[in-house]
Amino acid sequence: MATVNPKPDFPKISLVTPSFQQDRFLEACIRSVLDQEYTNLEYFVMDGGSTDGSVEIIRKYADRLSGWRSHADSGHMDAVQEGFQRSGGEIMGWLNSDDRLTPWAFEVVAAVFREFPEVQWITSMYPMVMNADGLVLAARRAEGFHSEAFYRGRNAPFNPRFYSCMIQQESTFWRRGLWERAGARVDIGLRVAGDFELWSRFFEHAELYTLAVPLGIFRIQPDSFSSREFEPYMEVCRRVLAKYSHRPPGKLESLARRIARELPDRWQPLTGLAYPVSHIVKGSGDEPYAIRQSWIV
Amino acid sequence: MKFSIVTPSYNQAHFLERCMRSVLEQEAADVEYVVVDGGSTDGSVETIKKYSSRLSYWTSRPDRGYADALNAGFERTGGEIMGWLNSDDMLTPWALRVAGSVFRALPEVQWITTLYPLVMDEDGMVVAARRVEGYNARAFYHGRNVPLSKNFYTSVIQQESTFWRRGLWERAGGSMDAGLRMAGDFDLWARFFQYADLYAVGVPLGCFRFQRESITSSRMDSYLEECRTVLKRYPYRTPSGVELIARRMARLLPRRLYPATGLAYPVFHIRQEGRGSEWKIFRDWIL
Repeated sequence: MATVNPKPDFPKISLVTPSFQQDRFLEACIRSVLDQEYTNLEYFVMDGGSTDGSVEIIRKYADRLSGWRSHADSGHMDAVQEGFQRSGGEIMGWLNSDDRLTPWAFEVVAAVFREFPEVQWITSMYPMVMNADGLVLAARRAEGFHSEAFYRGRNAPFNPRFYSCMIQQESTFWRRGLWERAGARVDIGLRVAGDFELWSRFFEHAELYTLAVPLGIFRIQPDSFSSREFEPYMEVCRRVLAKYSHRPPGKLESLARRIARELPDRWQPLTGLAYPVSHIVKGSGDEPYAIRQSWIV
Repeated sequence: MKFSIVTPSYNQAHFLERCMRSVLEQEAADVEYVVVDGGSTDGSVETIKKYSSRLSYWTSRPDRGYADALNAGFERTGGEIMGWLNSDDMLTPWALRVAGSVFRALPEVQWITTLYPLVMDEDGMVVAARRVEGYNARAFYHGRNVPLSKNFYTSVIQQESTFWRRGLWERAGGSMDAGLRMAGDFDLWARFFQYADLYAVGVPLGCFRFQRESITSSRMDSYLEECRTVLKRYPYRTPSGVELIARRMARLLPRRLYPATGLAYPVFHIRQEGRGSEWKIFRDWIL
């Protein structure tokens, strides 16, 4: 579905797709990017030397890509890093080869970054998932994000008493300025949870805002949540968070939080346990976007 | 599972192509698509002709309005699942695939809508999703889904996100009320609720285009007036002031205590849990 009214002053968006042996999904991924017909897009597909049909798919769209390659690399994050190094857009993000964007993602991301110069990175308030066949299964509402809550384990699933939700990578976009302040790199040594590690450095510089529009769709694959994938993921999260001085809530605090959650929303800040989170929302009608705050306990 | 979708169109050439493409470019769905134009003079007909080979039927001639166009359209269809899409709105690309999968999995479900209605601005940019609470027949008749009683109303039923089985359509009369100029959808929902609960699916399905003129006070007033007329046909009244205060206080309770108040309405959601393997029905309570 094409962007109906491309606006000439929309910022350049740099998107990278790291690809390796996912030819079943790659075309849906690439088309979810190119079919938006966002006029100021720079799109790189970095393939790690696939031997399935991936390269043929990439070639089919090569004339609409800003760059692509296919050769052995040292993994997923290496491909992401190389793509970003070749890019120059003001807004950045990546899309794994088995995931998809919603058809309207770029224009709304661009509009929000233009409207709010103070916002450094955003993610969707309504992350979506699809199954292995690409059937969209669910959206859900994320509560919002806060740096201290993040460092204490709110967004990594190893502390069930405090964990709420992950930050959906394919729904997350940031300004190049933030990327540079955070070191202009992803950790290419990580096989999993490279996104989580990047978020931990972003949070040192800026709070994450949620946008009330679905942006990305994660593909749940049979092995996504298997212990083979999951344990290493949690291990990286643990290691990343150990670098920071924040500690997860203890038993007593967890109990206090549980009680505080029973209170009506507007009383929650009075408990002293609540973290403010910021949402970018649109009221009814033609009101402009506005930043609203709510609280999480 | 075949879908019958009708688009009533009249002088919205500006928006029509995107609307039609959102139906014709659906992911994996068996669709019978009918466009009924009321004799547009603004280029709409050229747009319809451009896609006519992919339409199961289209026409362009003066009609007696919106409900008339829908009735003419639905008469030309035979699919098992029905819905309509106004010429300025759009479906999400996965809408019919998801709806079909839900209707296939849950034979007891007669009609569905989304838990996450989307809104786009006049330029077609998708600007907001929100999560609605879900729907209940009794609450509907009490005025929960029409902005008449401000303290009780929560959200409308988004028409472009709503789909139903032909069996329900037939039991409910099998036509739109041509006597209503604006609130034809609301009247249809009122008749559907006589026969079946409405289930909210946890996936965005449709997108409403907000147009400034659509909420001008005169248009809004006549819409509300028609809704009032529709609700009067049913033996329910809006909650009293005392009840509204009781509801407001009850909302301060933790959610799991809602049913204990005796004031809560059950609502039904359809979603897939965790890794996702099958659609399941979940009950929640609203006050």
